[in-house]
Amino acid sequence: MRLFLMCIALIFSASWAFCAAPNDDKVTLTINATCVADSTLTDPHGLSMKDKITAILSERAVYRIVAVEGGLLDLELINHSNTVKISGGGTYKDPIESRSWTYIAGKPATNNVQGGVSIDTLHGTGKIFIEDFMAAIGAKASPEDVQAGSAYGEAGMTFGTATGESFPSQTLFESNESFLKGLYFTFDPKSKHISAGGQANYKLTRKSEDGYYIGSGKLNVSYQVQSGLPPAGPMVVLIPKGDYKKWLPRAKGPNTPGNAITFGIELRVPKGEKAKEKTAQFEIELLDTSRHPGTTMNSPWTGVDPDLKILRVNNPALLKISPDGQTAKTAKGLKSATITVSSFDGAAMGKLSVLARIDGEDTVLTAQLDSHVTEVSIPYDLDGNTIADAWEEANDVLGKPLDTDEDAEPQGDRNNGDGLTLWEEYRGFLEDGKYIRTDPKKKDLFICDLIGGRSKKGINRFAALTKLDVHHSLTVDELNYTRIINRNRSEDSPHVVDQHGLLMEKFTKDKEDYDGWAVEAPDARGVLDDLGTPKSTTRIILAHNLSDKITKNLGKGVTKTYEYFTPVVAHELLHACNVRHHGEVDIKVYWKSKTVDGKKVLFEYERIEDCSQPEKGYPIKAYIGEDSNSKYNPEDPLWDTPFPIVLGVYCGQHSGNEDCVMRYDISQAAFSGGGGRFCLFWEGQEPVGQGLCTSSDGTGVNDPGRKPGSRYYHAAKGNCADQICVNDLYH
Amino acid sequence: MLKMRCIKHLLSIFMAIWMMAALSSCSCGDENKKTGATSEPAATTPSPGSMEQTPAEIQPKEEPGQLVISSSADTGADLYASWPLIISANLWRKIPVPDDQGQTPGVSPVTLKAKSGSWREALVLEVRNAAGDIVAWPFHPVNQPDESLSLGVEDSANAYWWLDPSETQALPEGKYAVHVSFKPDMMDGLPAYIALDRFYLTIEKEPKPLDPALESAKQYQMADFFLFKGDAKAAGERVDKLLAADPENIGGLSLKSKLLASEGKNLEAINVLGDALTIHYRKYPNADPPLGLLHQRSEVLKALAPKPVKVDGSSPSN
Repeated sequence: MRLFLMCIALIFSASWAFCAAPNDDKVTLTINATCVADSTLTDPHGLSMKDKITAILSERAVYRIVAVEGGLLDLELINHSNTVKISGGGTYKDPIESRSWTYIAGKPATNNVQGGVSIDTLHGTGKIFIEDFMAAIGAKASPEDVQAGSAYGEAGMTFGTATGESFPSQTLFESNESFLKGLYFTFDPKSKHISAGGQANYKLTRKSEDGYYIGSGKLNVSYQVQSGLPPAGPMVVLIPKGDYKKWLPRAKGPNTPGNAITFGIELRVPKGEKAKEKTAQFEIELLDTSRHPGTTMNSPWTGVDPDLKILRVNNPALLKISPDGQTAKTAKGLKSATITVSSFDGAAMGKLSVLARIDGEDTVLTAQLDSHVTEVSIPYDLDGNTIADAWEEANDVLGKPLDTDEDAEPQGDRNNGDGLTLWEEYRGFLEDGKYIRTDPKKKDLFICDLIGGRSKKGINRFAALTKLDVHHSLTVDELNYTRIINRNRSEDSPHVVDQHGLLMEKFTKDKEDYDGWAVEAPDARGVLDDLGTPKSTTRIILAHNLSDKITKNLGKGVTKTYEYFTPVVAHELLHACNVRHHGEVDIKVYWKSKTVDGKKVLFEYERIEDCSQPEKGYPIKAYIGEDSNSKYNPEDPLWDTPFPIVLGVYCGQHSGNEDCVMRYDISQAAFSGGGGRFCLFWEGQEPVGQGLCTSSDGTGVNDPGRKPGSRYYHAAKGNCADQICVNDLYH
Repeated sequence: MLKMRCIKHLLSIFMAIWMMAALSSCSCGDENKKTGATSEPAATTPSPGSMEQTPAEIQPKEEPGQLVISSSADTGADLYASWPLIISANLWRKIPVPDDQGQTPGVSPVTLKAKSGSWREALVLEVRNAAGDIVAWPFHPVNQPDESLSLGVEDSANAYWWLDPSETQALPEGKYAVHVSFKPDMMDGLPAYIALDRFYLTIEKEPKPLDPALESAKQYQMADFFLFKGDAKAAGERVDKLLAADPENIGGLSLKSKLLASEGKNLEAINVLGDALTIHYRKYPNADPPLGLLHQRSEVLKALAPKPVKVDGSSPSN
């Protein structure tokens, strides 16, 4: 395969002028721009190519000032003239042939206007725009049958990179921040004339991975702007009371606002007019107000009232407010007023618009905000994606799709996300009546804990071990019988999966199930499915009679007191987050003595029914702890009745890391070989895990190198930290 | 024409990612090119400040090893009037969270001392109805004499209050929020902020007549309540009544075992727990092991350690 090496250089220079004859209603913009691109390609097979193209724009455009809205000039192009000159060429050479070419303009050199300008007379700022004038004119290679055009393509790429405003966030090319800044200009807003100018330069350099291709490009723009004093009339300005751009809507109850935002409304008259002579009545309207079901993703109420309202309680001076809180009027004869808009939803979104009816005149003016939009978005949402920009910036998710679910921490089983989209995490939740937003980078888990008290310590242990964001104070209504935590949504809400929360409760009145269980949820067929993510766990039942602490005789005179209820809570919650036991092969047996040849012998039975069957069972020796030199006496009356035993086995529930909360600690016996059992009732009891293992390796009593031997060896499953998954999209 | 040729040419040469970047840049550029007057934002923007209104529910910043009082109803979140009620408060400390450098701050035990009497006497149990009004219920605190309390991260302590069935019978139906806090002026050593977990208690009228399952549950709760109050005789009567009607009631067998062990009848207590375990295994063959029963049995076994013999059959002392 032949490799091409290309080198492109692009130089693009321009100059703009913004001119207006003083004291008239015109704006004149003059631009001079140059774009130069070149490219070289040299490969080891003897191929070489050089290509270069240059385009020069000279343009003069005159605009008429049609109107002024909030300080922004509304401009109409009335005439323009421009020329674009194309030049350059290249050569191509390989072992067989060599060619050369030159470039000329593809269309007549005079074309549509290539520049533009916006001017804000309120703040004394402006910006020019420039089209890809080389693309507008086009270029032809002569002769036409050559493989020319790489420099031309690079010129377009350089132009796009320089003027692409979203591009600075990417790192493939040089930043265009300086170039974009150069397109902005300032002037004294109090001056009667505008005379401003500037220049913007950009350089692009590229090189292929194999080093055969090198390209560079330059774009230089210079401009001048001139204008007379723009005509101006009365206008209304909305002035936020506080930092509008940082304000985020909050939620509470269906009739209780979460928070509010206030704007001042001011009637401003043009310079030279007597302010005292102008008063108005202000007509206020909320437009396109969102109506999400409920007030948060999990609010108990699901109504679709407007999420933003003008409330009488916050706006006592208003003359009239519509019943739905979407429109209001002030009294007449005002030069200013205030308006407070209340939020009833974490994702409340709408637009505030104000008209001013100048008293004694028919003039109707659209209100403006300092940021020059005719309708003010509440909250501030420049990209219009229905999430407040302030939250997106604070969480570094600006520009991401609303249905993104990429929470990466904790890593767990490598499935990113917590089942909640960006929009759902932004809209937020109610937790015991309090409004919360969640972190889109950290996985969340929601719990309705009907146990309380010491279970909270267990939840805290669980949260510390898993590093999940655990929200454990949901009320029954907030969790809902469906347990779907992101249930309040309309069909077009950004949603990926019905994400479930967990219910923790004590034994119920009509059952005596009072031990630690994570109860499986039936699947869609009504069949009990295996444990998995929260959707799979109907409820977690915890024993009321488990002690806070427990003291274990670990053997050889060593005793240790452990927290007990706390790790049990963590264990059950981990089950609901897809974490399994270390193994599943421990067995339940019964021990009972039987008289054989006139002497009592301890027997082991697989089922209690077998204990009374003479042909069933097999004799065992029950050693004291792990000392195979002494055993318990089969004559002891303890063995006269069937004695249930949990017999731990290799790679079973007791295997793996001994300090993991997912490892069992209730084995009463272990195989010792030769029909013996290490009896662990009184001596050599199992330690109680308090942590979370990160491998399946046996440690402590399970250490393979331990004497007299590893009790249960490595875990069949283990590595519990890497099993964690809360995302109902998986498992 | 030439532009098309150029793009085809580039596509054939450049790496895919490079080309994608190029196309992306061109697209962005097109979208942002405007001519004439527009509503483009100004280059300068108002200075930022803080407009997010401070919500009333914002809590003070927590300290490493934050002290927490979590309250609960040991008799369950739903209570039938005329059934006993036991409220508990659990005092504990949060596990310190590692900082940005991954360092976990060390936390020393905190010592709380009552200015007079027991620290439990300085606790306030507050019950509010659905309207948010505080209601006065005739709680009986369980008093213990310890003046001070030392709490490390792995420690916890409990305080209890109770109401007799005759007292709960008079409670209005409804949903109540319950939380427990300290009277600061009665304690020394309290941190500036204590996190409080409240819980909700729902009171309903007892259904009549009770079905057999509810009758068993009531007898169980009554027996447990009497055991909590130290009245073994009354507890025993309730347990016997429960097991007479429902012989396989695991909770009843557990209480029976406790009563037997308290009388020193350890072997009988073990055998009763053996029955309970057997029933549990049969009723719930796929459930996790019954930790409560197994540890209860371990505790009784401590008092019943059988004497060992050497493997050859002789006594180790011989």
